[in-house]
Amino acid sequence: MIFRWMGICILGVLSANAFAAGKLATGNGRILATGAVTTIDGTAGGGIVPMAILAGYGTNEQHGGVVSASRLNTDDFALNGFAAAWSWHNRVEFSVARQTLDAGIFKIPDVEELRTNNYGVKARLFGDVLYTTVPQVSIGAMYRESINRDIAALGGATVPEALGAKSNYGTDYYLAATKVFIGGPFGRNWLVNGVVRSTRANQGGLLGFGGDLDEERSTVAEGSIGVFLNKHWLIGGEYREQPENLTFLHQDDWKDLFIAWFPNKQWSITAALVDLGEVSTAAVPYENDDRDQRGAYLSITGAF
Amino acid sequence: MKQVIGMVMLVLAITGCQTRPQSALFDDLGGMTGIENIVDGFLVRLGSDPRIAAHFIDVDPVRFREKLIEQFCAESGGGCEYTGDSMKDSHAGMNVTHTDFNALVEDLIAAMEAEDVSVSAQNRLLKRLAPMSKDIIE
Repeated sequence: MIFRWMGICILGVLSANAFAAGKLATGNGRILATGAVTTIDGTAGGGIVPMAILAGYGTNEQHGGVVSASRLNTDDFALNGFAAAWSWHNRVEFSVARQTLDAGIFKIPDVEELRTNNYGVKARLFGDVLYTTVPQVSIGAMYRESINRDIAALGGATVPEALGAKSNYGTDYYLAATKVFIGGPFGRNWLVNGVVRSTRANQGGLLGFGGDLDEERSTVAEGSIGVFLNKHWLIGGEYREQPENLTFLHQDDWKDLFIAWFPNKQWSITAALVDLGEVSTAAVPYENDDRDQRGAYLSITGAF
Repeated sequence: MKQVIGMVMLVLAITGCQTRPQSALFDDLGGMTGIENIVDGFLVRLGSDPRIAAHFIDVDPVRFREKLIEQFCAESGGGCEYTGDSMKDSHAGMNVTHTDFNALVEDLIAAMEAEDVSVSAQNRLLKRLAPMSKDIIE
C-alpha cells in the first residue's frame, strides 16, 4: 500500500516539475529544511503538530509546494495519509489531505476503513523562522470531513456517529509560533514550536466531531522541539493535546519522537515513534492487553 | 501536563549547559587564516552564483574581501575592528530580496563546509550574521 502511495507521490513531483518547467516557475530559495515536513493533516509542520512554517521552499518572492505520503502502524491499526500543499510568496498556504484508517480494530461488520478529507489554509502573519528575533507566527484553519458510509449494522449511522460523535465535519482554528534558534546550545540550531488550537475533532476527525461529553470547541495546546544535528538531520519530539468529547471513547494526548532527513530541497523523509495513547474503549475490545496505541510512522515529502 | 513540565525541564537543562565556557569562535573558524580562506571561497561562490552574481558586478573585490575578513574577524571575537560601511548603507538601493539573501547564506555555508568548519562554528557565525538580514533585505 505504502509503495503505491509513494508511487503516486513520485508521479506528483515529476508532473509538478514538468509543470514548473513551463510558464509558472516555482522557487526553492529558502534555506534547506526550512520547508519543514508534512503533518498527517497535510499542512507544513512535523508529523502530528503543525508549525508556522508554510509548505515548500518558496521565498517571499516565490511560490512552491509539496506532495507527501505517510503511514502510521500501531499495535492495532494502520493510518495512511496522502497530502499536497502549495504556498504563495511565503504568505499563504493551501493544503489537502486524505487520511485512511484501517477500521478492523472496531470489529464492526462491513466496515473496513474510516476516511477523512482535510482542507487547510494557513497564513503567515509576521516573523521569519530563521532571521527575525520574534518567531514566525501563522494562523490557520483546517476543515475536515469524515466521509464514511452509513452502516446497516449500526442502524444506518456512520462509525463516528455510532460512537457518539455529533457531527461528521468540523473546522479547527489554530495559531502557531515557530522559531529556529541559530547557534543555540551545543552550537546547534534548535527548533521550538508552539500551537494553540480550537477544535471539536475526535482523534483528529477520524472519529467525527463533538460528542456527548462535549459538543463545543475545546482549546488545546500542542508543541514541538527539535535540534538540527547538522543541516540535513533534525531530531525531536512533539506533543498534541486532545479534547475529551466521548463517553464511549476516551482520548489520550498524542506524542512522538521523530527524526527527519533533508538530503536536498526536493525530498525529505521522516520517521517517528508515535504514541496515540488509548484509542478504543471497553465496548470495543482490544487484542492487546496494553491499550496504548504505540507504533512507527514513516513519511516522505517531495517539494517542487 | 507531566510531559509539558518534562519538556520545560529539558529546555532548562539544555540552556544550563550554555553557561559552560565556549572556545572562541574565532579559533574554531581557524583563526585569521581560516577566515581568509572562508572569505576567499565565499567570494568565488558569490561571483559564480547565477542567482546573485549580478549584484556584485560593480563591487571592488579587493576592498570587499578586506571588509568581509574584518567583519567576520570582529564578529567572531578575533579582536578586529570593522571599518566598512553599515550593512544598511552598503546594501542601499541594491534591491536584495529574501531569495537573494538566502542564496548568499547558502554560498557562505558552502564556503565554510569547504574549509571543514565544524557545524557548531558555522552556526555560531551565522547566529552573529543573521540579525543583519533586516538591514540587507529590502
